[in-house]
Amino acid sequence: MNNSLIIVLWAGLTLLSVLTLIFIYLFIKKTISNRYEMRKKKLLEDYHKSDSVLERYLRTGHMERRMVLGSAVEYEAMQEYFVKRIQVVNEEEHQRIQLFFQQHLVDHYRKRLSSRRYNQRISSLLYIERFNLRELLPDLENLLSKKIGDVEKYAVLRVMAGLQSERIIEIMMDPTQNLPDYVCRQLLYPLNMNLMERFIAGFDQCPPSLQDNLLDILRIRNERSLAFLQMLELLVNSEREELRIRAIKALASFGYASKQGLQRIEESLDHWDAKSWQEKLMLTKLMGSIKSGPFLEKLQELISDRSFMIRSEAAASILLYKDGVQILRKIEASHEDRFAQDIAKEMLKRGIS
Amino acid sequence: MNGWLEFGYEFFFWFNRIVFFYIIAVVFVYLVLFLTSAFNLRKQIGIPEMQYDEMLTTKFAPPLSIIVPVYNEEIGAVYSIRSLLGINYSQYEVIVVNDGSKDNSLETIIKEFDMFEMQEKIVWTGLKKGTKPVRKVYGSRLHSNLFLLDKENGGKADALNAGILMSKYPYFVSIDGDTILDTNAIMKVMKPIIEAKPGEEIIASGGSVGIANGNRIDRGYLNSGKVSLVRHPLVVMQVIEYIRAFLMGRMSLSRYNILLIVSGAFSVFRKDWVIKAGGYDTETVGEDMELVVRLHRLIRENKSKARIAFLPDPVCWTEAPESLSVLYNQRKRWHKGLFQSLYRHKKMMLNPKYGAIGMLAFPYFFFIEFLGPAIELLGYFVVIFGLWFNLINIPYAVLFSLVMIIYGSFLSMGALLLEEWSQRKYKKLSDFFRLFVYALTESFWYRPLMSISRMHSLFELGRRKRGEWGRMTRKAGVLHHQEEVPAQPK
Repeated sequence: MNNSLIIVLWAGLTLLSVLTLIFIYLFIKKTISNRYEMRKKKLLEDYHKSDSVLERYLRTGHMERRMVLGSAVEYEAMQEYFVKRIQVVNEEEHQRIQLFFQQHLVDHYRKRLSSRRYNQRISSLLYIERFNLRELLPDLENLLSKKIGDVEKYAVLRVMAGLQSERIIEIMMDPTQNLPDYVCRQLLYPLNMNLMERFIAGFDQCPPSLQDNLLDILRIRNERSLAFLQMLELLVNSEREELRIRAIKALASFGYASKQGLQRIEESLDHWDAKSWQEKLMLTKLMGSIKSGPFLEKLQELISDRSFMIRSEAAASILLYKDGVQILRKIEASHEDRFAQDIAKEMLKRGIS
Repeated sequence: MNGWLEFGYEFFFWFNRIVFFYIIAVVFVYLVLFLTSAFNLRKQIGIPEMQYDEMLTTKFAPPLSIIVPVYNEEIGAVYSIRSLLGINYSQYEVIVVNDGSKDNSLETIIKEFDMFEMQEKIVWTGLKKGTKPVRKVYGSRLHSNLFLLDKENGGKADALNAGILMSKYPYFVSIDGDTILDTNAIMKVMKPIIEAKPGEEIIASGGSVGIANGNRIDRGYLNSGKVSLVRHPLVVMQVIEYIRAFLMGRMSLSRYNILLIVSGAFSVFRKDWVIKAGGYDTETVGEDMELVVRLHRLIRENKSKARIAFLPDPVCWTEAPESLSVLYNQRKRWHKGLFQSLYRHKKMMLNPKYGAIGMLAFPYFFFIEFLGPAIELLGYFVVIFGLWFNLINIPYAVLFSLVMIIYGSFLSMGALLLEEWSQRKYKKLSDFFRLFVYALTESFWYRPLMSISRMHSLFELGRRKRGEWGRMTRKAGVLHHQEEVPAQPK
């Protein structure tokens, strides 16, 4: 019994000392960080004044010693100030902010990028992206070659894309990367058209998911280059259904097709029944945004389709034609199919109100 | 008489042994949970919030249906709906489900958002069991993405099911009318889903819940920069409890994909999976936990690699009960829900077919979370018995209980440490002291109290009320008192 008493006593004492240690640690940490936050808050308030060092620098471009020889907290406050400020600056001020970071913080971020601590690396990434520090691209690539987790890898890639790094093309074309769609889109979205055209040129070598996302992004960005249009018109007949759907969607939002393109789409209507409902739906939408006689005929046929979604999309597409309202009125009044009448009625109500 | 006494001694002896090993096991389990969470959170200290910006500004997040079940909540509902309509997200719809409210909820919402009856709207997505009949479906003339579904009363789970059936997007999130969202809540919970690798599936994702009492709410959102701790002892204890539960328990369970509870207050689910699993169960009190268990079961039975994610960030805030009786009933309900979920899926218990869920999570929830209070209360009786018959080595017992109290405080302190590493909500030193002192007193009043309420629920298990709307009675407008919102122009 005595023995176990001693064991319990020791366990208790150990726990008690750990408890005290945690308490002291938290107490000190909170005190220090509160003081740090206070100092930072004070600095930020100062920077916000219209004649502060930073504001003067933005106006004149003259970097005062006070800005350059800062302490850690000052740098952090400046960084925080500029992160917000950079969103409301003119071209000149933007350059000045960037210049300041290039001259005085690049080394700081470089050190942080090679830090052993995850949070230091990640948080510096966010600033590198925001302040467009292209000088650090080699360091980013270096980080990428190390053993890092996916979250961090995606963050690095995102920054590289933001900085228009050419390496990103190579990485994205590599099918072993297996990037999530969402990341893929985030990487494509900021790329300039120069880099985008290189993807278009090498489209056949891209992994399927990249192909799909590329079409979506070009559509979302509303790009209207000839190379893109030509590619889309070819893809309407692609073997892969997913790709066809996205190409049709992109064409629909393009709102234009060349003569050959139009012909190709019209021909594809012959195999209507073999298509999935998603593709049918997209085509129905396309036939509203790009207009042609055969399309309008097809739409009037589709308004009595079995599926509600197709009917409704067909009615919406008809409404986009010049005499769409009259056609729908006629369908409402005299179509043999009751569903077609209903949808025409509803669409007229919605379209007019 | 003698026989009884002998039985008593024998029982005392064996109970002591069992409890001793039980305690050692519990101590060990909690230590493991703490260390896992600590290790995970340590990595993430001090990353600025900016990481959500980049997502908010992009248009690629998948569309989301937000389901708001409403039952007798005319005032609260309008506020929550309005704040939901203002969230920063690219594509979403808000589906309000009026579960046969007896007050004017329906009329108020219709009037407030200028709603009209819609003809063709319900897209039945094939849930095996139906829901209570839907009376009417409304759309809003003010917000094209707001819908209202009026149905007959069938309980919260039934209301959620109806909402799921009507939703048109691949993901849905359910929100209680009394929950306040963090500004980035949706992006936070969607992040694990959209960043999943091809081939990797996240079918549900949830975050921590914080306690909103004593905070300012601006336009339906809680200003997370200004969190301060209230003085009410019951609330302070609940704050500690929430931090411990979310940061320690769930964080580490999620690490191994064996999380059985995703906070019901705010979690995203993949619609197709939920429908495949059969939707929310209308017979359970804790329909959210039951659903998660069922999803896990489905994952294992389909040999899928799908996962349920959890993030330590607080994504929503809820009002903690300030009255003892409300708290007592809430805990009774939770415990009952826990039991029902475990009982319904008892097949998974210690069944290697269900992997870590069956072998770790189930035993954890059953032996520690569920049986804990019973053993604890039995322990009090045994101590009394032992003292009465002089069976207890008093110095040993005193020392042992002291050590356990220290251990309890150590865990609470550990939770505060995790809080400091991750959320840093309670910045003031005075708040920290208060949390610390209360954590020390927990074993003397709060813990026994909670154990009693949970035991109580066990006795009530026989009498089961179906599909109830377990909600707390709240002071009218506690969460919405500050804002003076001008009437919306018609």
